[in-house]
Amino acid sequence: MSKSKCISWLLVLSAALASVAAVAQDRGRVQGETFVIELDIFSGRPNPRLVLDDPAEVRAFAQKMKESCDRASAVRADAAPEYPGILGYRGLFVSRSMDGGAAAHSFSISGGSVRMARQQAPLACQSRTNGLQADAAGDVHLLGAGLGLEHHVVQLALQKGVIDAIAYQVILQGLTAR
Amino acid sequence: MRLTLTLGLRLLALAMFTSTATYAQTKVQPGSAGNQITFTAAGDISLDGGQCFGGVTSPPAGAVSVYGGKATAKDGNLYFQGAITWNSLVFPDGTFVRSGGTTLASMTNAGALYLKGKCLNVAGCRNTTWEPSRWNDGGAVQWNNNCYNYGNDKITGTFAQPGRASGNMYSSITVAEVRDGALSDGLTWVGWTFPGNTYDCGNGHLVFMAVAPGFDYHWWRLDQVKGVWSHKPGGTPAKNVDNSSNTITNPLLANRGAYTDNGGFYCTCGGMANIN
Repeated sequence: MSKSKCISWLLVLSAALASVAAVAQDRGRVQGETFVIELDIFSGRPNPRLVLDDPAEVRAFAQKMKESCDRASAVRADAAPEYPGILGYRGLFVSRSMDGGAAAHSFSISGGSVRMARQQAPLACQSRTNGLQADAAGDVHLLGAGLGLEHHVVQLALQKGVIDAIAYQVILQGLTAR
Repeated sequence: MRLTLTLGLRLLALAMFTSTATYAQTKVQPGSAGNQITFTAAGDISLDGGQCFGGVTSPPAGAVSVYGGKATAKDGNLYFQGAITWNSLVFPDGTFVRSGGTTLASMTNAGALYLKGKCLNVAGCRNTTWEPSRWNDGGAVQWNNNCYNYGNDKITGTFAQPGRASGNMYSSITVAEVRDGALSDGLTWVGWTFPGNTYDCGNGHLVFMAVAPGFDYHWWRLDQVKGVWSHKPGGTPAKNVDNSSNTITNPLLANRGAYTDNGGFYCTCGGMANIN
């Protein structure tokens, strides 16, 4: 095989792999990406944390993220609501790591309002956030993401014993009030 | 009569506290500043840079026995095994501290202190003011200090828990457990009812605790100028309004969300509380 043919085949192969990756990303199937989610609910006690490293759980979470990001509208920082400093359920803080690397803060979500570090956007949301202009802190702001992702995380936290029934009820009351 | 004691004279202290007619000035760590402890003629224990702690069954490492073993001391703080009763009108049997014909205090054999006056830190507790910039840095201070840190006006960076510093951390989220932990840390009991925003803690400031049963606890503090309460929900910024965005003039009447159970009012020494 000539050198030029070899390069052509490599280009074709690269494009095919990129396409497969894009499809996987669209389905929320993101290999090597894991999440730690802090449920911001307590005042005195340390908040509970949910670790998502099981592939099926990561996939389901990524799918919810994608739905939330696709649904939301981008807004300027000065139009984004402040993170609520209330007693009770406030929101979620999500950190992500790739391939076992160090976890970095990715985004917070509260009542469907998302503040995302653009450089640490989850793969499932990158197609949504890449074109957005970040604020001075490097964050992008999304409104109207819905409550689906938050409900999903709270249900999972209850199932995995990260929170108990009392905390679950407090969170549901907080979500209902949004 | 005023008697100054040093560590080397603790046996003498024991002799002076076995009966009557003594109020003593005790320097528990000679050579270091800020640790003078005095029974005043007014019935107060005056501490130069420390506090009294009641219900401490495990004193901090290095604490020395004082008052004939009725208490221990370290870094200017006094630790009593039993509870401390301020402004007491009764003085149960035990070891009495008297000045002339006046009983200033008694210490029971179980280590409880009944005091005519109060424990006063004459070095001065920090007066709390509404100063959100000290806490709301959006970084390490804000995220690593909670409502208990804020209420006690002390930045530890450890998300302080009631009772942890004194080896008596709560084991369940009830008013009784969290209250015990706080008292063990040296906060002093005021009562269940709102004492008013001009209540005088002597030295220190007023705080209030509430519990969401089985869920969590929360603290508020009364800032100077008196009459305005503020608080810090977890790692979020300090604020001076309730869940309905109303100014808090009485935390019992504020919108506290799920924190429904009255955990009582306390005094604490701003910036010098024994919390971690």
